[in-house]
Order: sequence, then structure tokens, then C-alpha cells
Amino acid sequence: MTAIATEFADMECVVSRLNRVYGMAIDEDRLEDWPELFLEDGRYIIDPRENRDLGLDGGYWMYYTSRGMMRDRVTALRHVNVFNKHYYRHLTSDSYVDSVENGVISSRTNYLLVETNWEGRSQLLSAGVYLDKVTIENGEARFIEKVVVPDSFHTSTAIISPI
Amino acid sequence: MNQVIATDIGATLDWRSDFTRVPSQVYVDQQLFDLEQQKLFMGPCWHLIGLECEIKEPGDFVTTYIGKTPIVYSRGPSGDLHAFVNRCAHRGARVIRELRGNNPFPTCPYHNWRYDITGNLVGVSMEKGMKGKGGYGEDFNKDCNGLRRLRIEAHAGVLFATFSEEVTTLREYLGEAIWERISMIGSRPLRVVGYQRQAIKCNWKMFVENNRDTYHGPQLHSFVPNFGLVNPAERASVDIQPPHALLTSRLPKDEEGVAIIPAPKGRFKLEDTGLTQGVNELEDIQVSVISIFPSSLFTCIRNVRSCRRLIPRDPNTLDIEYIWFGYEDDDEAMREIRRKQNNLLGPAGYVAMEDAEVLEMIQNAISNDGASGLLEFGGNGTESTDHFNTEASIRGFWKGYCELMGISPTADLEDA
Repeated sequence: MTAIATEFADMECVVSRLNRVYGMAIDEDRLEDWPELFLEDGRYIIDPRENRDLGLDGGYWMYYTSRGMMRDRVTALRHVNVFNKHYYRHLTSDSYVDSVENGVISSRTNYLLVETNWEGRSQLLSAGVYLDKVTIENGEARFIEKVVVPDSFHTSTAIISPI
Repeated sequence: MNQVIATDIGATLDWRSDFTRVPSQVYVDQQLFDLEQQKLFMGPCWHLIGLECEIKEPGDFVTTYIGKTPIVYSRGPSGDLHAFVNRCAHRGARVIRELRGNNPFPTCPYHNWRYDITGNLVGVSMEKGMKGKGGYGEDFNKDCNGLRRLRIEAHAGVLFATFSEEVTTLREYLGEAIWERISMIGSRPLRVVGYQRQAIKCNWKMFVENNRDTYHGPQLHSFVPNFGLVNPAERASVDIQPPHALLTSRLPKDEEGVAIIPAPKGRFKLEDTGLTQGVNELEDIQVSVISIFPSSLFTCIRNVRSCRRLIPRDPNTLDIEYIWFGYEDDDEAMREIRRKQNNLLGPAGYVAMEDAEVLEMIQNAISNDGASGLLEFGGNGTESTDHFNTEASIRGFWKGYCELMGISPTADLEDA
């Protein structure tokens, strides 16, 4: 193992922080803040590991290709869909930046997501990795694309909020 | 022995001869669950197991389950199709321990018994012992110790299997209407776009009922009416092919008789309408749900297609394996349509996310206490209808269930 490059260290702090902000928005039930962390044509995709490893191009748990689609999810969860009260708790690792090209920061961040139900019982809902493409414009970091790859591709019950 | 158990349980249940009551016990009872394995899953039924396009090359295999029995479906050396139990003939270990792959000669890890991908036993370690001592006797015959085979049949690229030697042909089992619908859906070469797996803490039969339940759609899944995805002019039908059911909803037609997809109209408006964009693929059919007795589902909703294997783990736990598919000749635009519409379905889907929680809430609330559920919506018959305002196809399921389980609805207790 060679010495660890430090060239992306600053960006790793930014991406780690963006992922903390992402997790907190969901954990604190500020779902409306979630789409705002993306560019207008940003993409939010949950691609279970089984399909990712097979190189398949469908079967996503969520496939949102614009901030509008994400806002529609929020509208549906707030006003329309029916589900039990639940709490999500995200534990995200430090982010690792793989590359920076033309202003696009490509990174990997591990996550664990614990779900607590309306009766206060907790379970590990999902473990996996975020494969993010992030851009920093005018001092503000946003997701160009966030691909959630759950190792837990056999999920339990339902996926309500973003994971 | 098992027949005795069935009779005993049947006698204690408050069935009605028209199946307008479902005793809660059928969702929680371990004895019934065990009997289902024998009478339904290993009984005279054809089960949808997967798609032919998953096993294109010789040696390709996929593992899944029929009931609680682990099985493999595979492609043999000359393109032949096979299905066998994934359980070593020696001590019963899982021979193949991957979801899918290619392996012409799977080998059990425990004592290195070697099989071919059609299920034949081809090699036994230390068959003649060591230095002339031990091993298997002269009468040991590998040909008699292969993996247990199932019958397998393909129709329009869809694979079905059965443990039964007695059950009729697949075509006769499904009936013409379902056979024809599958022909229509599989008229072009299929292509898997993705898999999903979901565990629900409910009895497997609740999910079968849920998929035949045309009453709950607009009630529970309020996304549909609120975002105006449903059009009252859509023409619905419930075609009951006992004990199967074929639910269909067709698009309205314009003056020239051309099926049209109406613009969404509801209390809320989608900011991004990508979700609702689609094309007519199955003539004017917008929704087609084929519920094949006992537990196979073949579902087309708009441009999203899936097979669903229901795998009962215990009386209170169900696994669902979804195979989402499109067609080989889909261009990129069509693939994108399917990807976006898939947001409606699956464990996170706008018109599906509610089902799992509701079924779990039922499983939580019921017990072996003699209570029963009510199935009187749309009367008490099991005949086909030209509308969705009925529970007829659920009653049809229970009719088929009781017949095959050897349960005679005792008496019309409350009517007596």
C-alpha cells in the first residue's frame, strides 16, 4: 500500500457533510429538504446490489430523474400514501472521493439505516453504499446523482422514505 | 395421517359453502401450513418458476423455491430445460448455493457428490472406499440417486414446474383464457430488467387474496385517485377460471375506436409526468393480473411486467421474488418508460407500498381464536364479472383451496 493521497481531502469533508445533511433531512422528517440537495435535473436511484452486480438496467426501488420527481414523492408521502408512522436513522461513513473530473466529484459513502416502527421497535432496514456524483457551485454542494446500492437487496416490508 | 389432520381442522373451521367467511386460523395454523406444502406446493399444481431467458446457455441455472422446497431450474447441454430439488440425495445439503450462475457439474460441498446440471448423479467420492475397504456396495446405483426431478414446461418464454406426475398438461391446468393472455404477453422475446426481493410478515395466502382483491385498489392505494391515474371509463373484468383468476382493465377508446391513455386528472398534479408516460403494448389492456392457483402471479400494469414467486417461509412469513421484464427489442426510450413506471410498483412503489404494511397489520391482529373474515362484496358467487366491485375471485381461491386441501366446508353454521 502506498501512501494515502491527500489531494481530495477537502472535498471528502464536503461530501461527508452533504451526506450527513441528506441523512438528517430524512431522519428529522424534513423530507422537503431532500430534493433541494440535488440539481434540478439531478437523479436519485435505488439500485439493489443483486441487479447492480448483474449489470441490469431496471428493477430499481426508486428511479427519479429530476428534482420534480423527488418533490412528487414528498407530496405523495405527505398527502396521499398510507403508511404507519416510522423513524429512519442514518449512519453514514466518511466519504471517499475516487475522482474529480470537470467539476464532478465521484465518491463512495457507506451507510447503515435503522428503522424504528410506530411501537418503538428498531430493525436494520438497509446496509449499503451511496455512489454519489457531487458538484460544488457558488460554495454550495449538490448531488448530480445519488445511486443508493443496498447490499440488503432482500428488503423487508416496505421502503417508504428515501434511504 | 395427513388426511386425518385435514379432516380434523376442516371440521373445526367456520367455513361456509359459499366461501363468504374465511376462518382466521388458516393464516396462523402450523398444521395447515405443513399440509399446504404437501397438498398444494408439492401437489397437483403447476407453479410459475421463472423465465426461459434467464437460462440461455447450457449450464445456466437459477435457484428458487416452490413452497419451502429449494429448487433449481436449468438449461442442459443440448438446450433442454430441467428443474430439480436443490438438496443432495446423500444427506440433504443444498448442492447449489448461489442465486444463479453457470455450472455444468454442481458438487455438494459436504461429501463431494457431483451432479450434472440436469440433476443426474455423476460422481460419488470414495465410491469404492479406500484400499478395498468400505465405500458403497455392489448394488449402489448412481442412476437411482440423482436429484429429485420436477416436470417443467415453457409457454411463451415463461417456465412452469410441478412435482406431480398426475397433474394435467400446463395448458389444460391454466385454461384457454390465461394461456392466451400469456401467449400475448410473451409474443416477443423477453428480457429481464431487474429483480426485487421482499419479506412480508404475513401468511402467503393474504398476498394471493390481495392480488385478487379488486375492491382495495382505489381505497387503499390513494395515490391512484389523488393523482388521477384511474379513469372511470376504463373497462374492467374479472375472469374466473377456477381456481385461477384473470383480472383485466382496458383503456377507453376514442371515436375511431383507438385505445387512448387519458391525461391524469386528480387532486394533485405530478410535477414530473414521466411516471405516467407510456405506450399501448397489449392492445387496449392497461392492467392484467393473472393469479395462477395456488401462488403464482403474472402482472402487467401499464408498461411494467413482472412474474412474482410467492415463497411461504412459515405461517407468518412470506418472501416475494419479483422478476421484472421487458422485451429484447425494447429501445432505450422504451427501457426508460419501464424504469419510470416501475416507481409505481415493488416495495417502494406508489401503488404497492401500502399492501405489505396492511397485510402485516392483519397478521398481527388475528389469532387462532375462532374469528373469521368477511367476503360478501359483490354477493356470494364465484362467477366472472364485467366490473371490479366484487370479491368473487377471492371466494374462488378459497373454493379451490378447500377442494385441494381435502377440507369440506362443514356447515353454514350461522345460517343453520
